[in-house]
Amino acid sequence: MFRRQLAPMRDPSIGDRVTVRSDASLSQSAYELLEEAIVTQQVAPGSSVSEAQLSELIGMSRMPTREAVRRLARENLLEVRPKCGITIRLIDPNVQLRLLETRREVERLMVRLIARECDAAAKATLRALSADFETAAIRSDVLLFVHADKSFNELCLSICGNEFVVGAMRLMQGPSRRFWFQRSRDAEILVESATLHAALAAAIASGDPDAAAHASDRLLDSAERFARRAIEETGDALSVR
Amino acid sequence: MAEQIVARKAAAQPKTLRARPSTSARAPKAGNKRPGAKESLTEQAYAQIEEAIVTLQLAPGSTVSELSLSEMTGIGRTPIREAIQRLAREHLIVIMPQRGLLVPEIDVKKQLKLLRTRREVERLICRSAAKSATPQERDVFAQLAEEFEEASKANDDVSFVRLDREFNELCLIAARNEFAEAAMRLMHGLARRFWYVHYREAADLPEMARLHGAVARAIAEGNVDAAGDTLDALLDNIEAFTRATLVEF
Repeated sequence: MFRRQLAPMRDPSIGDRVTVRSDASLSQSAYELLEEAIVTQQVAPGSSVSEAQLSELIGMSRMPTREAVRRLARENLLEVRPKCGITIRLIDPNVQLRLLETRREVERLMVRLIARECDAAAKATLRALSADFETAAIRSDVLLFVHADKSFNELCLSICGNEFVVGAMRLMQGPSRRFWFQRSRDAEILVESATLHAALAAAIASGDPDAAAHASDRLLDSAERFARRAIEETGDALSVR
Repeated sequence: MAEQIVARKAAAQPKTLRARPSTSARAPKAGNKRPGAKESLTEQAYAQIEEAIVTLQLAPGSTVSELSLSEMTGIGRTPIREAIQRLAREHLIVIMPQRGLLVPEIDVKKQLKLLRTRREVERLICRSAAKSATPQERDVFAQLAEEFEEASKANDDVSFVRLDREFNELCLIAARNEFAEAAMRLMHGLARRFWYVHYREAADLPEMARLHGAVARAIAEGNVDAAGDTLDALLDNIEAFTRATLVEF
């Protein structure tokens, strides 16, 4: 059920600081830890687990774990049923398509907003990230891509300036990352994704909202193709809307 | 669920739409708690507090506490705390460390940001609903379209509010996209509250009802592009109404 135990997530030397953290930040930590465990498939898709097991896995107490479970259920990463307990949702390319449909609209708006508003410092960072994405594409470097992707996403959310866009994007981050994580060993997906991310970062840095929107659509087109291919590969007969 | 919706056609009186469990939790009844079922207590706490904020019973700018919310709802501190976390993510409560909880003031600029996001997500929902609605759901959309028209002609704000709620819930069901739905629900409370505060002065209700009817009709007919276009016209109207409230100050 657990691929491997998580390495200790917290530095023991900060134990004192941890005890004075608020309920809210404990909840946030539990949420992040649990999401990470699910995204990286340390808790296997389809597996049934108990709150106690998850609590132990992430090293947090029951209350924040319970709240994290509730949040992740609303984000469609897991399911809680009265008698069946907690089930980690299977990775379903049809679900991914619906996510991408939604993400397309919100992300297009987000990059338009950023392209218009970003300052010189943000532009410099975006250009550097664009270069990282290109390097990752050339070298087929998964780790570099993942690192650049995380930085890019966090940068966009932090400078977007629209808390509702941010909220909507954050809802979709977990399932999106998990789907990608599953497929990331495919070199073709990695190269194409990295190349398109490079183009998107550069387009946003150019300050042209239309170019940014177009680059965002191209990235989503690519993600959609891979999701549809996943449906074909698994011989999934479910009709796609 | 669709059968429940279709049943309303036959009823002489319009029934409250019980679209899904979360909707019925929005109208909690006394003594509805299942002992030991904390899941539903959190849902109930959320629904009751959200309603109180949206309908201004918890006034914008007022401070509340876990204790006062617990007393108001008759629900224990733990589910209250979880409900508060969720309401905070929906911008209906502000958690001020060491200072308690604040019900935020009405903020027009924030509303405009909300509308920009809502437009993109809701357009997708209406287009998807036009594509994916079942025949029974289309019948209900057609009926809603007629009732919106009647409410428009009669300038009937009570009916409009009821129809609007039914329409929104049915769109979410018919769109069949859990991510778009989740994104909309994040914005729902704040959008409703703003409307509640301002609609009597600022809104052109007949026009708004007419525009809603147009979207409902487009969805009923399965016209995907019209569903998107009419939704954009509706959001234009809501945006204009929102900007107009700035003039009031």
